[in-house]
Amino acid sequence: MSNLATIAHDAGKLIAYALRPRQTPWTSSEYAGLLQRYETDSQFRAIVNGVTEGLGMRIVDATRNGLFLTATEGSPFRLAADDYKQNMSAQERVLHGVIQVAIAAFSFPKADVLDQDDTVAPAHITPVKLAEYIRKFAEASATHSPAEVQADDSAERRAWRDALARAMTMETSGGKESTRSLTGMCRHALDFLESQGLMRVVDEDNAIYQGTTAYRIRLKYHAAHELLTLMRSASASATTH
Amino acid sequence: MILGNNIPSDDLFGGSPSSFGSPPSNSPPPRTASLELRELGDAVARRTRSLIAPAPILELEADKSKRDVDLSKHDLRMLCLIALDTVIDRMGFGSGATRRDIQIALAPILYASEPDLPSERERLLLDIILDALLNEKRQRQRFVSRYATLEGGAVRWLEFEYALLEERQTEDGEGRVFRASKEAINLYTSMLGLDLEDASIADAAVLRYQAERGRLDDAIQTAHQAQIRAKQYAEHIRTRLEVARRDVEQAAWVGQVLPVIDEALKLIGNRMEKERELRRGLELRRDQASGPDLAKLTRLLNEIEKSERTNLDLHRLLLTANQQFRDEHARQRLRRPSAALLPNLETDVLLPWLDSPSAGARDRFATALNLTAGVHAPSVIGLDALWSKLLSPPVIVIPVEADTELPATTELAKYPPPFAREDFEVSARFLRNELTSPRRLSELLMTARNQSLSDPACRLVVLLSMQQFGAATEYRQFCVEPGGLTFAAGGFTGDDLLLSRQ
Repeated sequence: MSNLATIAHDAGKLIAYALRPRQTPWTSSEYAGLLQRYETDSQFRAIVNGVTEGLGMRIVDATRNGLFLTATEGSPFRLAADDYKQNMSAQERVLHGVIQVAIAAFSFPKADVLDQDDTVAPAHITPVKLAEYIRKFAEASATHSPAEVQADDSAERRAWRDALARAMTMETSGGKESTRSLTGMCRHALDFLESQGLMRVVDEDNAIYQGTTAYRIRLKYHAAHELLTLMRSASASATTH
Repeated sequence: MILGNNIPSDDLFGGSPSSFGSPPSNSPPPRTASLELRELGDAVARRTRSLIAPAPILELEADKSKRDVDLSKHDLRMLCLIALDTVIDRMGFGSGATRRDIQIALAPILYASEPDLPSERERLLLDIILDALLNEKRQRQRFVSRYATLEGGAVRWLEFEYALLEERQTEDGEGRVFRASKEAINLYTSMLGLDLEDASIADAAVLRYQAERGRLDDAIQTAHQAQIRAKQYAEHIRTRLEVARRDVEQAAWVGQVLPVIDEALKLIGNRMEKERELRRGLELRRDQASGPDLAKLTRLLNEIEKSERTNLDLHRLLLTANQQFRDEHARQRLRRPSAALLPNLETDVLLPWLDSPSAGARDRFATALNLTAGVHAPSVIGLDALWSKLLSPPVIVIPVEADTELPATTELAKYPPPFAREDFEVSARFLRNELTSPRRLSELLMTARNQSLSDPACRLVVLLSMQQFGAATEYRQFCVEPGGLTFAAGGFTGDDLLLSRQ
């Protein structure tokens, strides 16, 4: 292989490592070496950046903790709803959207918590705690919503609020948790993040999870800003209409 | 003490509550008094913060009766302090105490208080202690407390944000360790906001004084305190460097951080030299010592060595800090969004999300998922791969090889056939010769006996006669009909038969 081809081959390897959620530089010396090279070799870095961009992804961060990628609009690497959970209803999607945001907010409630060093471990989280947290905020949101917003409640808005209320109050027979209850949905969300290498299971028996360094990095250097922008544009759009 | 005779206490605290927060009087206070007032304000603020820092530990003990479990046998304050002690003792650069370390340190105390403590309860107590120190109740946010300060004679309310413990990923990426914050170390050393550099110099002087005068018990205590303070100082410098490294855009490296590094290098260099000298002297004394003094000197040297290790690590960090900053600067230029101005996810994102109309929320699901939950690596089949699959040679099925090994067998015993070839030949020849005209079977048997045919040959004559009786035409060789009589001859009995060649 020519020199360029060798570099491209190694660049591909680094991207492949980044695409495997459970792979870390701590478990693979080759991955750690490629990350080191990414930092020091500008030609290698340029090729990795170019290939990543060509694949429809962008680099969130590249440190000794790993190479973290996010998929841009239209990328084949973008997560589809079915990758997350199959056959979700529209209301389920809305609830799972809330749950994902709630997990991020629970782990890093304030800017100074998110801004801590990348390796500081966030709070422990359980499906029950998370469901309770959402319930608390949903109730706060319902009482603090401006009167004009409540008066202007669309049928759709009411529908999803009902779905949230139903999921929150869903009782199960025999003490078995239903996958359609809010706690069940929270468990699914945490399990999914765990499979993506973004949560670790601290205590399997008591279903205690904790955000990983990868999760903090993803939120700190990319997702938190983007979520804020998203909410600001949503709010601006609502005001315009 | 700063509260000197120049400032009557009435001037500071004697005012009525209504005067708090009001602007100072029109007549300016004397210059010296103003300076001392400011110093007093600073000192009081530091002491107030030192008083606030143990609040989470005190609250934990005060609220223990509200819990579902009976914790009356345990002093949670003491357990918290022992946990902090363990963490501080194991702190160095990039390391700290594991949960197991803390569990081991607490176990003897827990079992001393409650000898029949079940392991689940021990785990629960450990969780309670760690949760309190981490502020798990508030998702590990910093503790916040309001306090009043004096500013130019006026009272101003401020917020004191602090932490006690944090959990970090270890250098190898796999484990987790706990590290104490500077406030927690402060709590441990009871420094009440003293200047760290001054305290460090004072420790060294006191330690030398005590060691030289043979006050070894006191010297051990001072050395222990000094090594904890060395860690605290190291932590203080490390935090400053980390903050600067994390956000290079905000850090005034040349103007602010480089002078800190220079100052710290001088202090550490000086401190290391003094410790080295002291250690050499103590090592000589130890070599000549015996009995209790030997044990005390060994402990003292052990504490000094711990302090030396911490200082050496810090020295190394300081020497490489400038290069690390430059590397980080180069790296952060590549990073698109700045770490600064991060949102409060609870108030800036979650609450508006819950408030937003449904249609938007549904559409935002995919965006939220892709922002927070990583990427999906699809299994893509390319056209080339598809062609190669289609054009590839047929799959050769390799049959599973049969087990050809013969099973272990034993040969069955061979029995001789009932009739020999000669018997068949003799009986056939006999019938051909004798059956020239119709004959009874009984007569033929008598003739056979007379011709000395063997028993098997005679049996064959009988059997052949019976076979031919009623045989199908294509198999019939001679005719056999019932003879109408019974017979008993040559050892055979039964109905007699009439045999003929058609």
